Amino acid sequence: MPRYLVNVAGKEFDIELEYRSERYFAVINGEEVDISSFRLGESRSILIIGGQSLEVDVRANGYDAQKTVFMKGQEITVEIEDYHLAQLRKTAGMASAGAVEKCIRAPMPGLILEVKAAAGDRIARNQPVLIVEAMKMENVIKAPADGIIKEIHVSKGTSVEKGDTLVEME
Amino acid sequence: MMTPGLREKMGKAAVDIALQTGYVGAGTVEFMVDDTDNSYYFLEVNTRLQVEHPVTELVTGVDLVKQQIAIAEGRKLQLKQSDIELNGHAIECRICAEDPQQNFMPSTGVLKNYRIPAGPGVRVDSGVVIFSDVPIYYDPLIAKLIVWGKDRDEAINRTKRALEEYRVSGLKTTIGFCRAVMDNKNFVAGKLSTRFLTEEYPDNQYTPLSDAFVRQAALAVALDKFIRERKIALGRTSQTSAGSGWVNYYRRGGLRRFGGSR
Repeated sequence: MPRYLVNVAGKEFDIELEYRSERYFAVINGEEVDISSFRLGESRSILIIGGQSLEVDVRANGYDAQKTVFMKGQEITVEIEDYHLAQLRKTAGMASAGAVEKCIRAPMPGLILEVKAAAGDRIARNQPVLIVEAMKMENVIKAPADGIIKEIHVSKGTSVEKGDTLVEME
Repeated sequence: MMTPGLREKMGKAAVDIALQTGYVGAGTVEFMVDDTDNSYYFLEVNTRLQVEHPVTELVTGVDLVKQQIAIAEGRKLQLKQSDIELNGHAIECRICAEDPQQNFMPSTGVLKNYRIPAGPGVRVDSGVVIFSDVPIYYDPLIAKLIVWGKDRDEAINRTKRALEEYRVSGLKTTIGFCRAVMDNKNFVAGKLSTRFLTEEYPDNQYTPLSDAFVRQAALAVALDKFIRERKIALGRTSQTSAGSGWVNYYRRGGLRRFGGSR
């Protein structure tokens, strides 16, 4: 039975799938779910999961191990790998091919007003790290994931361009 | 909150303000309502069209911009107060280039995907197209989605559908947040106040990726991969699949027209 390791918003799912008597059966983290799927196009489909219908659009985004999903008005990145290959990769201590980049880049040109963390700090996802002034507003830049700060490339008063690497994390 | 009686009183107060000041042109009189006793208080007059003017246009059927231009040209107003009838319910969503996960921080970039919703009662006033560059120099409002329904329930349901039809990539938008609000119990019940955001989202998590949502996204991607791999294993790729019956029907018709056989 095909088995996948799926990562969404920092949560990991072990999913096994099977097709029998015209239906799909999934076991997600040990729990059985039945799914019906009606494909509406190359990427769009209607799913019925546990009696609830849901329209999803699963699109390739250039990375083999990553998909972009449009669902309920949200765009979300999902990582997927073969379960057994993922186990091998983990044993070898390698990062996933679709791993979310753990660094903070400037979302817009602006001026650094405050640095709220230091190299070596352990920080949680969504924890404020920097304050950047742009569009006449103070914008709080938060950590994209849990991790440890490796290096901070800016200080108070640095002006930055969009896309500049501000903070490296690991 | 808004009853016909309150609307009547508030409307009369607004008209009185315009008459007293000798106001000419399109304008908006704003009031605040105290929901404990439905008393209302004057806030301000905006001497222009509001961002929300399409809501008025959809429920009254009056083209406000056309009226505004006619007044500016010195023509007499073609409408009387008694001509104005309210019909159904309309909702406007501001589609902003902002990141709800980062406290609505402006989001800039190039729109790599931009598909907008359509259908009965759905109107989109857009300021961008696909591959537009959304820069830092302007307001983050990139489009307005205005949806009409015969009543509020239908308007909310159509709004949900319309928001789900959007495909926007390249920058963060408020689409997912607006969609989540359409499911918010207090919003649906019409219990709204100026404290809505702070009360409903105390931890500033405006588009919380709920456990159920994340689990469904994981299942959707796994199933997508499974179906694709299964198709390849069975030798059925998308090129060789039967495809749409409509396409085949018209293809046959086309062949017949050019003298081909079925």
